[in-house]
Amino acid sequence: MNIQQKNQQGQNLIEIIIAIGLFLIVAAGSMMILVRYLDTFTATAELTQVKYIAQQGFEAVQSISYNSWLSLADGTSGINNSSGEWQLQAEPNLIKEKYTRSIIIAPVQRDGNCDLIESGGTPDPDTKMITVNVNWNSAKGAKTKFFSKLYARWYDPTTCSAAGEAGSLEIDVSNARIDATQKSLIGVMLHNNGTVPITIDKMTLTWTKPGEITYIKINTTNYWHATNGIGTPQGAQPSGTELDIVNFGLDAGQSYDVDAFRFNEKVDSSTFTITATMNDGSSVTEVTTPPFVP
Amino acid sequence: MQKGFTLIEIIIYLAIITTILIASLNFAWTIINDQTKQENLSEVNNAGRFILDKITYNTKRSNAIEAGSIYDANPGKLILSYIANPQMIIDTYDKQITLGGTDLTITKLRLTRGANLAVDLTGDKINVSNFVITDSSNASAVTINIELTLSAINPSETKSYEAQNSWTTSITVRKRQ
Repeated sequence: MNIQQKNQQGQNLIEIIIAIGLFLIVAAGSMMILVRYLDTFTATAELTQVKYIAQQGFEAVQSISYNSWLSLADGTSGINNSSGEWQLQAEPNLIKEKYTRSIIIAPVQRDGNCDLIESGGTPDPDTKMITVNVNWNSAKGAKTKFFSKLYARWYDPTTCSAAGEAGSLEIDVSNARIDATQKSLIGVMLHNNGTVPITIDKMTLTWTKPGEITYIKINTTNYWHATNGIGTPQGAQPSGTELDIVNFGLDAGQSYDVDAFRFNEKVDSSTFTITATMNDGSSVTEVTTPPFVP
Repeated sequence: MQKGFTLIEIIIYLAIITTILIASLNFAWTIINDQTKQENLSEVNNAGRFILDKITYNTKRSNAIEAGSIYDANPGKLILSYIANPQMIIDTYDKQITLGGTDLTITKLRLTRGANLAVDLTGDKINVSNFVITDSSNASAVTINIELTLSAINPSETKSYEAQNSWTTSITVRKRQ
């Protein structure tokens, strides 16, 4: 009996079943990989659809925003173009009876420096966060995608993006020069290129020669004078001092001559920087190349 | 002295092997069939993405959509003008091709820039079955909607090879200052 068992050849049934079992496990594994591979085709096709569905949402909101920025009210909505142009509607959209698209318009906060912050700032009326959310049922279950963009009313800003009064002021130094005494910078022009009046509150000059500034005369009148009580501080001031001049108003579209920035030393061949700070705190700086000596 | 298998073992063995073979052949056949369909679908999806991205990019940066563009009809036509670049025309044309001895007419999309020769936006494996532009502009924005349907050409009309997809999207011409 023992000898017979030792000489047994081939396999018995149990061995074959184990072998087949192993084969099936390997085969099933590779089939699952193949099925997964094929699934990715479907998933890719769905994501391509989602991309253009989301794009339509963004472009429609863009269209609406150009026409009427204020109609971008915070909240969740859909869009329709049944009137021939895109408009917001309360209900989300169902596309191809499969994809649900909703558009979420949310306020954006900015801090005192106009930087975007998550919380603790003030909502910027010129900026909105637009989020497009697409939901659909794939073979693998419910799926959702969110896309977000910041939209800004950059072409007609009212707050942070607005250039302020300084955006309208042009300090024209193209004809700036030194007068015969070599102690005055003359020929500087101030233009208000905007559509509303603006006011210069302070001026700061720097120059590269010794000496102090003694008065600023604009449009035949002194707006700051070192010794006769016009503007602050009093007394001749060194380069870089902020001079709080008597407020100088510029009407819309008007130009004014700066008759002289007067110094108590010769300032020929100096380089000047002229900074005008407006009533709203915005400022403009202009640099002259050394004006010629007459 | 027991050697090899008994008859019953061989019969069971054969039965199991047969079942497995039938299952795997069936599976392989499905995969091979499906692969052709998936290749066609891939072709259709890639072409769709390429066309829509091309049109989106060129429309956003255009200056205006010119008269002569065809709206609300298939096939549509888009004439875009630019400030510093020559105008661009995106439209369709018909082409005769021969595939497997069969003559076919397919519709292709093309892009013409200024006086240059037209450049095809679709290959010879794709038929543009629907290309419709609608106008959703308002007082301050130029906005168009595009409907696009592409199908892979399938001269034998084999059901299992059919691949078709359609997309709808919108584009707003960007404001400039």
